[in-house]
Amino acid sequence: MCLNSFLQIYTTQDTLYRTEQQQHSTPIPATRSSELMGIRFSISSSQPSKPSLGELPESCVAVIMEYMDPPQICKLASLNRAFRAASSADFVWESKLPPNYHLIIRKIFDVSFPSHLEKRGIYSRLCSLNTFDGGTKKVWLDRSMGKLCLSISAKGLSITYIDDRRYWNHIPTEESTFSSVAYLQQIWWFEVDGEVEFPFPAGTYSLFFRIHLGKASKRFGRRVCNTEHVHGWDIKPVRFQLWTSDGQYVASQCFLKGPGKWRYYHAGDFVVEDGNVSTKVKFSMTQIDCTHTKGGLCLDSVFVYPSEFRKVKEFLN
Amino acid sequence: MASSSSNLISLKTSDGTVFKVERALAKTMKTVQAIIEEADANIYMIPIHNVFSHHMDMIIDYYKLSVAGKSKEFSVEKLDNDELKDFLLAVHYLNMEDLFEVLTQAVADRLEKKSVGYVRKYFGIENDFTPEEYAAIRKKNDWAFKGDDIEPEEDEEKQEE
Repeated sequence: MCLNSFLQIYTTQDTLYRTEQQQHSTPIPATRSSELMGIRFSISSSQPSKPSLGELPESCVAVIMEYMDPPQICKLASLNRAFRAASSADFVWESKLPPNYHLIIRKIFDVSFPSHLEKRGIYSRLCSLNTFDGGTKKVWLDRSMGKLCLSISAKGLSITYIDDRRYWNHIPTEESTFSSVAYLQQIWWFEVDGEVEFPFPAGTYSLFFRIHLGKASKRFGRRVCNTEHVHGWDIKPVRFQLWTSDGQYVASQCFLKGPGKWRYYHAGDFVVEDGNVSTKVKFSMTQIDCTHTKGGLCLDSVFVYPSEFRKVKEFLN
Repeated sequence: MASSSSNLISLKTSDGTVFKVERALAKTMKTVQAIIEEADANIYMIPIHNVFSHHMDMIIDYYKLSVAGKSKEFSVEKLDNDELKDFLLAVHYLNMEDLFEVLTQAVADRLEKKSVGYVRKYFGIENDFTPEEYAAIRKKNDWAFKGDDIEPEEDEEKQEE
């Protein structure tokens, strides 16, 4: 660590005087507090006229911003120039990115990912819905917390009998981040399987199926829901299972209900210990009791969210 | 020749008060430590600019608490925003890592979830942008508030200061 001040020490008989010549700070990117440079102070030791946080040097502001969430950092960047400069400090955004962001970038972007991006740019880029695996999957960071989320479209899932148009059809929709959803008219054997392999940052994740009972469409600009084919879901519950490559397994069941609205059905949780390796997750949703048919269901996609979102996000409850 | 109380360092604040502090406390002030190490002769008194006696009182309080393992009990709640900022600047000048982290966290807590207008008013931060710069910075940071279905902005060149 170094100080941008030069000391000249004079000694007289008993007392020691010191004069300090301070370098004016040149515009430099803010660095971590242990390497602070460019301390900006008025030379005189008299009281400043009206002290304010506006006189904080950029390096101080950057350290303060490290404790804030990204939306707050971006908001306060419009306060003044020191705040703006501090808000683009690399070390501030490095602390918001997932620790394994290099692996995430490598997985979802090809060589076209610009290498010169500052950390804030990387964060911003990762916050948008990044499509990968031939358009069947999307991954993004939640903007305010920097946590990784992932979704798999119906076309990225293995739906039993998907090719048989008596049972299943892909229909276009405006109610999904993907362009189509899978609609089930009627079937005996309902089975949806899927898997994903991804460098999830360490943490606990919850997997959900986003499902809608009934077929929604727009008539004269208004949303209309056709539930004439909805049947069979109240007879027996559906069964969810989840496996990971490191041996975790969870199974549950529940009844599908509440037509006319998109609902997130919780299939299970899994824990990722090490973000430096890819985690493989397999999951399935089944209702294969062949004594009754079931139908009238739209399957949009499977979502993987950090488990803490269940407390915070309304739509997951 | 070492002075008779060589385990105490004399620090003189901007308002002329002399504090005799333990060497161990002076060691937590990297600025002071650098002065001690660079001096050819023995130092009798070190003036610390921009640090007032009420700052030193709080620094000594914090030091005593952290030596007793109770640094979490240290609180700056009673300080108003200007006093907190002054204290932060003093600690920044003295380059005291732990206390600096405590104070930056305290400022961040006071700014948390507050609107730009509130922060500007209560912390007295003047807008030194031109109208064009202001519009540009608002636009550039828009992505942080949008919903998830937005395309990323292309990254612009780092802004010239």
